[in-house]
Amino acid sequence: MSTAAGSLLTYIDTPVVVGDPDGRVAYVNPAFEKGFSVDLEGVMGQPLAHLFDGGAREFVLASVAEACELGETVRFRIRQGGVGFGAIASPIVAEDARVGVALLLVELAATDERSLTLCREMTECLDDLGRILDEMLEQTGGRRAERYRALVEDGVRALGRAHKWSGELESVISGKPASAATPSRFDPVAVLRDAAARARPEFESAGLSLEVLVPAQLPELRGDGGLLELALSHLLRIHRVGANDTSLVTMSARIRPRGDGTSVVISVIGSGAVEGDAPEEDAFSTVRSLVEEIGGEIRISDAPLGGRATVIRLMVA
Amino acid sequence: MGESEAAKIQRLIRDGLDCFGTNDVSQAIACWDEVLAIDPQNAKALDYLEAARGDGETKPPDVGPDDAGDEEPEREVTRLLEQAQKLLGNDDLEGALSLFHAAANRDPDRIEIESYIDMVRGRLVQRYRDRVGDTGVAPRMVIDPSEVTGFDLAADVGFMLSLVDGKTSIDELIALSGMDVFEALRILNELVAAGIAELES
Repeated sequence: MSTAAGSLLTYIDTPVVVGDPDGRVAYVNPAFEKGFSVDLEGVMGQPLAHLFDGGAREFVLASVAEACELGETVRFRIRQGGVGFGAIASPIVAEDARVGVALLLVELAATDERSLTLCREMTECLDDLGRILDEMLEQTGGRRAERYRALVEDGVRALGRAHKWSGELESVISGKPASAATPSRFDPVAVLRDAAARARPEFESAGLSLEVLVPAQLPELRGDGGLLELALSHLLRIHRVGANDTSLVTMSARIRPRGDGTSVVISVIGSGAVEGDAPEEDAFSTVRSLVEEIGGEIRISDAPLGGRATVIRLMVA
Repeated sequence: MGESEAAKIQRLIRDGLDCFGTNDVSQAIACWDEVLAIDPQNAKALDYLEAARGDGETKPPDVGPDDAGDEEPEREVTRLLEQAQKLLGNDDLEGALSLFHAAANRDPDRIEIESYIDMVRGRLVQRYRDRVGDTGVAPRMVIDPSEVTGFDLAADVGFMLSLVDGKTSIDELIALSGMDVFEALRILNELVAAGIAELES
């Protein structure tokens, strides 16, 4: 630590700790000494872990390791001595290219802490609601309950969005970068297999065939995989409900070039006629909105040999 | 032993469809004529030749690049789709699949064509399953490995063949190959039809 930098940090009211590449304390500023009741001489050369207690210690060590490994600033929160801190761990590259760390600890305002607590309370309620809706979903598998099942699925979708925005709010309050800056991605193979696994028992009990044509690997796609799974589950149910006893339903996914990029094309095709035009259109509109929500392109058309074909195109992340 | 007659016919039929799909009609005709030289009664070759040499409706328009207007690709796709529908009507799923692929490559914006492809793939999988029967059986190579080069195998077919050892079941081959069920079963059927592999009973 240079004298100039050390003297600058001396006058900062915010607690600062500098760790060397071996994870030991190289410097703590007076604000840290005061706030954490330690003195520089006593902690110099000690492992960083010695500065913090319990859960805070785990968070600090994990975040320091992450910052050093990725070479990126990591934000996190700790509670030490009854006070909440928003912490920033930034990597410092030493002359021998080994990486140390600077920790900046900003005391959180009581309102921020309260807001975060409220966020967590909300998350618990959302989790409870999720469990309840999942159970209701299981109980609405029959044909007569189709309408209620669609309503429950709408509820699950809305809950998913509430979860997402609750997470965003927590990120904003705790100073983490918003996840919207880094679009989410998902593995389409896992999504298709999950949707098929969920639908298969109902197909089997109806004596119908469900053929899934998916390679072992496909590139990751942009968007929310949960919404795609919901759309596929919905589509499979439409085909199962409208199928006759000789129907074959095929769900497949393939890579296809698209302009300068690459896309994955996902199809669900029922060979039998789909009964009941009006409810079917309602059901397809839900699928349509789900796919459009994740930025996909969707087309529903009559298959050449009868039945209905739905094709979804999503761009590779 | 080189490529068997059955394998050669199968390859020529497929090559012809590929050429037809890319509007290389004369080459497609040459392929199917070659099939008739081996098997004069081959129904597929006769059917395809009739379509390729047929009236203006099915025959691809003979225009040079300079004459091709904006509507040309659309007409081309329509022609391919009509031809594919005809083949579907004749239960020629492999032929229809080739033409749907050609149409999709011509007009990538019409994503419904992709679902036609998947519909045919789904039906073909059922057909392949019926042909192979029990997927727990292990295919076995019936030619000498030194003869493999005489078959002019595509890379994915060669890869699948490299996994065939007489001990690994079809289910395991599907899993090991990383291919989807359609591709894996298509190739296994092709290997059996070409007399390169057989299914142990």
